[in-house]
Amino acid sequence: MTRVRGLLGAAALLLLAGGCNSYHYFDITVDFGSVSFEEAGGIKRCEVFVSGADTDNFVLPSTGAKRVACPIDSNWPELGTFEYSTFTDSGSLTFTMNAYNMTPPMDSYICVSGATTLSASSAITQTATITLAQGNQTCITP
Amino acid sequence: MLLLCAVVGALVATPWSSAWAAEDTEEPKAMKTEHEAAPQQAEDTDTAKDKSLLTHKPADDAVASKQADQAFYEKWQFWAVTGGIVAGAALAAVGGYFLYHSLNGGDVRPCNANFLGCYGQGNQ
Repeated sequence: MTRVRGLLGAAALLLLAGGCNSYHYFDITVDFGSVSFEEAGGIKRCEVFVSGADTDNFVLPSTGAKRVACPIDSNWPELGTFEYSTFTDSGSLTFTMNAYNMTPPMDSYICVSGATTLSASSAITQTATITLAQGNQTCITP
Repeated sequence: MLLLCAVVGALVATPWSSAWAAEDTEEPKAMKTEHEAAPQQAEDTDTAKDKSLLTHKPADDAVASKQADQAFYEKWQFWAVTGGIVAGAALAAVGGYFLYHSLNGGDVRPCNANFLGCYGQGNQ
């Protein structure tokens, strides 16, 4: 009996220590919106920043990847969809995508950008769309 | 001729002559069977009633003493308990790992092949 209590106690401690995490998925579709095909064709690099209840950043696949995003291939007027997974189930999550006309990526090279904000919840999967808009400078570089 | 007859007569009259031995009138003894020849081995009625066979002998005490003098690692009970503990620990470790992994969300779901990519928790 003492051994059973010990095992139950250990299991409870493990539960408390580990918590009960579950994945939540955000499927974000990137749409070029009013950005022209010529402008989209000038994009050299696309980077996504996650902020709010979770913080992260990643680069969308470029040449050589299985699915090419930036520079665009034939994926216009819709760039495509990426999925972001997190344990966050409360608060808001903002996804910001910046497209650069040069590398390395710097704020001064941003030519197209867009963002969307979602409320994290117990929902397993949420979908949203980032509609890109032209920035202050052109993506077409000589 | 008379001499020859006397010699023959003397031979017949002597007790060790073959003619006299041929007349053996002694009756043969009765044959005994193998069972009748060894009645003690077949019956063996004394063994089961011999209580002395059940008592401890010095040899039994020696064996018992040798078993008592065995080192703990020479006893099968030690290895049975040790094996049980090792197997239990291994099961607990494996089960604990999977429990911990499950409590931490388990495996992230597979990435959709049509997506540009999958990022975030579990994908890095």
